[in-house]
Amino acid sequence: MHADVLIIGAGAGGAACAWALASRGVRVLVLESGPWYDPVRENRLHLPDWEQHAFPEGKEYQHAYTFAQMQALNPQWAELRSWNHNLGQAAGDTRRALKYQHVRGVGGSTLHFVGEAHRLHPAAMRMASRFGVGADWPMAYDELERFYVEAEHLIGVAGPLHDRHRPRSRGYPLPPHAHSYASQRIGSACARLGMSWSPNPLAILSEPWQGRPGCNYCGQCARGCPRADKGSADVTFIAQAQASGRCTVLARSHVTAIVPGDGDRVDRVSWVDADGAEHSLRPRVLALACGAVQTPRLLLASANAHAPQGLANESGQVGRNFMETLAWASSALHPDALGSHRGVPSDGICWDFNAPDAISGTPGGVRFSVGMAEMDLAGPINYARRVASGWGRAHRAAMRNSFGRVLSVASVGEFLPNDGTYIDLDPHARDAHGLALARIHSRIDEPELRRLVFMAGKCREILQAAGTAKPFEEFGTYDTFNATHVFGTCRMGTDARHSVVNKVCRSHRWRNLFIVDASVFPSSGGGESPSLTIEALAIRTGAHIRDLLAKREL
Amino acid sequence: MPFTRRQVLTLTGTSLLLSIFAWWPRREHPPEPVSRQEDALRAWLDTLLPAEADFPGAVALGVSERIAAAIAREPAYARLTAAAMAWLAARTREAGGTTFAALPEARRVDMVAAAAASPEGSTPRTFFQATLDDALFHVYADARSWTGLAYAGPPQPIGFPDQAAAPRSD
Repeated sequence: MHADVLIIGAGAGGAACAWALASRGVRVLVLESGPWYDPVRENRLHLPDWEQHAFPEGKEYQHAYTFAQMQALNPQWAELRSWNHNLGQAAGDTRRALKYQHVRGVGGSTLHFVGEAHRLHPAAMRMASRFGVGADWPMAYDELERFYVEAEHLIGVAGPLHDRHRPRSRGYPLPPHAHSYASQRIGSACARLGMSWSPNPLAILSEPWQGRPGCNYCGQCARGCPRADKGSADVTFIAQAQASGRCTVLARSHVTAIVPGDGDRVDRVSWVDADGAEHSLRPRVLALACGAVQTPRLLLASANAHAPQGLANESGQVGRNFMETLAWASSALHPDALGSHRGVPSDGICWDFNAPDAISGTPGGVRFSVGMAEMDLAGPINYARRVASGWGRAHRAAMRNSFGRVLSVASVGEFLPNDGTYIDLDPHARDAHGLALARIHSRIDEPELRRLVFMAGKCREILQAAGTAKPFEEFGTYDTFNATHVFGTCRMGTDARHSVVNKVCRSHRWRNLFIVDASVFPSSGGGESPSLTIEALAIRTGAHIRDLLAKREL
Repeated sequence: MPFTRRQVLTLTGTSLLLSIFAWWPRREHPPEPVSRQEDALRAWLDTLLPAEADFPGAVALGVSERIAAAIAREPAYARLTAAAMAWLAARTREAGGTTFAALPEARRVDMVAAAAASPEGSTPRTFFQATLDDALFHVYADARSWTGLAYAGPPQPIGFPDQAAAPRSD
């Protein structure tokens, strides 16, 4: 098994890096602890019981992790509690640790993402120097732009002609999706409020592209796409990397040790395959791509005499600066039949408050988008449990009068790093191979709460302007840890004392170690979904590794 | 989905013992025979979600078998059900009936309403919430329950290519 570069993790970052290397002539081995996703065997969207099954199901698709004690909730922020008119409040007196939403498998969390393909707002990469909070990226947007283009064209991103906030050297490869009928209502409401509403750039094909079919608007991207029109990393980057003949992917291969050497190189990586056989390899180059929770876990668990604080943790910053998802969604019933279960999950977006200075007195941006499918309000079971009230004949009548009429507006916002939100190793919990589990510490501070108040207020305003009744459900991350986007924990920067990797995502200390996932993000952005930026960064790092290999500097 | 039946059971589990004591009938009666409990559960479910012109009802859709299987799998659910059945039997006797299943529909509706209106955390209220949530979970996973909802599912293989237009009325 010979490879120039060993990549651990086959999600957005690992897959894009593998493609960047393989397509440039480098031999790559990718280790993925989870399985391949097989839509023929696993997808249930064609069956009546589709809604009973979350995606993905089974422990093999999940990493084990633990939560530290969650913070107590303050009555001052009662308006930010999650609730449902049938089910009551979601949390008690302390914040609820629901889930770190991720998928372990080839394709990673792009297997369940809803396809948002966002570029970061350039100003969000300058949070410290321009707004006095968080950290700056050690590069400007312009340096990343051509890699965004490369990713967008490989995936087949469908997007609008213009984006006045994010300069583009080339248009999107595919035209945007038409807004769904329900999304048009939300767009009209935004217009009444003086807000914009534009097509959301999506890694979902609006037309056939490179052998993959166009979307048929089932709305269930989060349950896995059986048609491969959604550009998850397995059907895009991994498929094309493998087609080069220079990329091998070993699924169900669980890394058990990364051994720092006595010089400036990672010496060895060991793993156990699906049959329990042990393997070991001395990597010429190692790229970690396990996400902002598992990457720091692997680094911290790799401490030895040569790296006493953990691999690449000379600054003590591995696991620090964790940024979780700041989110809000309000849902209400519209008097008209809208068929609101139809359409791609997030086809419309408002970027008006996305710039870091868009909200007065609270640095950090937010965005607003369609939320029905993301809130899982697009099928009969969830309507029956969460929308229709009562029981007996009254419940059935409520079902008839409500199905397809829900409008949800969702918002995602900037999460600034704080010293109470980080990842460490749980001293009391280990996996089947003896490796300590990641432990999530989370604290929401006042800047995030003020931002959440703004987000909740605007969501309610938009619904009201759309002509809905009062919300029947609201869900936010003030009282519930529920993170789909996670960042930080191996921050990139120019100063080795305060960061983990440099501007090309290479360890400051370990010359053959790179990190190509969202753990390197110095800031989260103002609600942008991270996958496209992860991919652009990983392509950029892959190209850089290839150049170093060509110059025999690795 | 932020709330699940399992969470309802978990949340109410701590108060379950107290609530069983609070709602347990004072007079001692022999436990309900298994077949009578099964009949009562079926009647309970068909009162929760009864058949209508466009809807077969919970029992016809096989919900009682699925819930019985869950009760057999989960000890906490089994304890809750046993306590609720005892409550139901006592209420039936107080109403002059012999079995819940044999009561006229209007009387059964009154009893389910009484359970729904019971204090939060009590046995009848917890049983009502758990069985209703379970029944809805199973009923609406059956395409026969979608009649009249203007739902052309499941999502695949057709999708909803008409998504940009107003929905067609049935």
